Amino acid sequence: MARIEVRRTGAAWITISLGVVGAVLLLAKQPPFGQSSTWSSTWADAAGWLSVTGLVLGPLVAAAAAWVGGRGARHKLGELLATAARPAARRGLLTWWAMLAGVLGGFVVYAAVIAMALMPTVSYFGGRWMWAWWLVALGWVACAGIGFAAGQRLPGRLVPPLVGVAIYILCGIPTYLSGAWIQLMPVGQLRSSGGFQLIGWVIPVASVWLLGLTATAIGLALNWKPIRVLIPAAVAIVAAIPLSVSGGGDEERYAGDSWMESDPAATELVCTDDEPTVCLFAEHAGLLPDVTPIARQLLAAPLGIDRAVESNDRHPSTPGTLPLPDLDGHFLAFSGGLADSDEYRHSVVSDLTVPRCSSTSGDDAIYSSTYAQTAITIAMALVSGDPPNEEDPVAVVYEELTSDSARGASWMTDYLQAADECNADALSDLGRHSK
Amino acid sequence: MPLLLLLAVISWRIALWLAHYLYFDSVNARAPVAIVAPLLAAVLISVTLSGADVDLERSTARLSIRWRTVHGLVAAVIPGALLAITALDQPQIWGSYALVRNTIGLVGIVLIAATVLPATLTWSPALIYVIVVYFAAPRTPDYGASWWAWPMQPGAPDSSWICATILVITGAVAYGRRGPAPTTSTGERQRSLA
Repeated sequence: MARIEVRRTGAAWITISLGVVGAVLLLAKQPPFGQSSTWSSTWADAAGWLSVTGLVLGPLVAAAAAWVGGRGARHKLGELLATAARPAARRGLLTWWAMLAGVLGGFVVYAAVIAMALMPTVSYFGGRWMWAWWLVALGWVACAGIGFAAGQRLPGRLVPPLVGVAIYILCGIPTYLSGAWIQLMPVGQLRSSGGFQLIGWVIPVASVWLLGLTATAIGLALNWKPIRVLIPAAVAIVAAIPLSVSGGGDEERYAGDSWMESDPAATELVCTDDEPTVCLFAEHAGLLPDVTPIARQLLAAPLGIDRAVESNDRHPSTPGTLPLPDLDGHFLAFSGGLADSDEYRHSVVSDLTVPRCSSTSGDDAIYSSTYAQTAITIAMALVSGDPPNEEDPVAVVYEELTSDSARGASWMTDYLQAADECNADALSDLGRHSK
Repeated sequence: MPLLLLLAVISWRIALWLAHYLYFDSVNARAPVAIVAPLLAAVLISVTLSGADVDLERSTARLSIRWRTVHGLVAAVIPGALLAITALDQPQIWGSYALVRNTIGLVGIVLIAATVLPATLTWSPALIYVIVVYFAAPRTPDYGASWWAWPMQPGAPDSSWICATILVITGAVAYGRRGPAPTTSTGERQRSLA
């Protein structure tokens, strides 16, 4: 009986369709269809990707469920089925389970595709990532429940596409809003990303919310007794209250991320055994073989430092180290490795040498001075090892500083101090005396 | 037709609001209307592509190829024209041009789907395609997007128009020649005859 129902609901087609659409979504963001890879091979980022793509797949799940739910009415079998001995609710429940098998099959296929994209470079397995994936799966189930209820209860051939469009719009609009409540949307709102993990208490409470929502929808679809519908609805509302008013999470993140907290283990440093030392966050350690040659080439510049360390706004670099920019979004999906070595190398050089001023007036003072800009050009050339054009007057200075390593190191130390302090006068002096 | 008129009025109001609400980016903010309104129009059109009994229709002595082709083309042109008048301001930026192009292209997809899928599922390829490209595609012609994500282009004449035109012509011809797909497969028919 169950096998017949699985065939009648088109569960296999639902699985295949969801898997194919999920794979297309992933590939569309990769070269050659997208500008560059914005992929991060971490389980937390993959949970974020699963959730965001739920904005597409959730509505499709709902539309498919509405189509399955409306099967009896579509074939005008209502009266005939009403005469059957088997209770209508039990028959409907069997259809629901068969359809759910197709939806969960689609989730498993899509999750497998994402895991294949991660595997070559993934290096960190902590951060409660499995629970983030679990909540995304429950979001799909909730969409299926809502769609199934709409298909069963609303008349008309247009219900499935309209349910799909409605879920798409309703879950999509909150992405432009802020507030903890938006995370109650079944799909698209779990903003999991590298360096963060779900807060412990959120996992069971959010699970109860999504399962309660699903049970309520199924109760409405199968015309359960009011009390059997009200109980899961009440449980879902009780669970939704702490989730929607929660101010938890890291204060540095905006309200929409209140389900997440820092994951210190993900940003612990993993370093090379040999010198000069290159250290990356544990969750990016899979890129050590790609980043180490770039970092070591830059460390060979007259910087007076012999250690390169990954850093970001939350984990700033310590003095005396070469800061490596956050590797989030620099991974290649499927094949693994660094997406664009030249771009990353350029960003390391820029981060180190371009003065970072906290005020616009500081920027203006530096960029209005020709000498300060000369100093910046020399510093970038010294760090990157890329000599300026021979016709450029700066090329002579570059030659002098590279041929006299002591002088080069001294100049670079002064430069880095001036750039760090956003000292336009000191930078102009360095540029002027170089000429 | 009443539903199409209602759709046109709703899309006009929302497009106007998006284009003039200070929070949004002027007429560039009309993109959702230029995608969703044609999709809904195509979904509405899908209902008209088959009668109550497709198998009975297909058993008639004379298959009216010309009528069906005209039906398909009219089904693309009328909603396209209706929606076009809802965003006449700067029509080349997510305005009338994009509404017309997306309507005829998506109706083309629905017409093609009608020849191979059961009547109750003809909306599904258009829905899946639009939701996927709306999420995944760039809104510029880079990386071949004007070909593979033609509905996501602002509306100025480019290769996205070629895609939409090919789809609607192919759809009208295919629908005219083949008609709506039969509700029962050949195997099932043979079994029932046996």
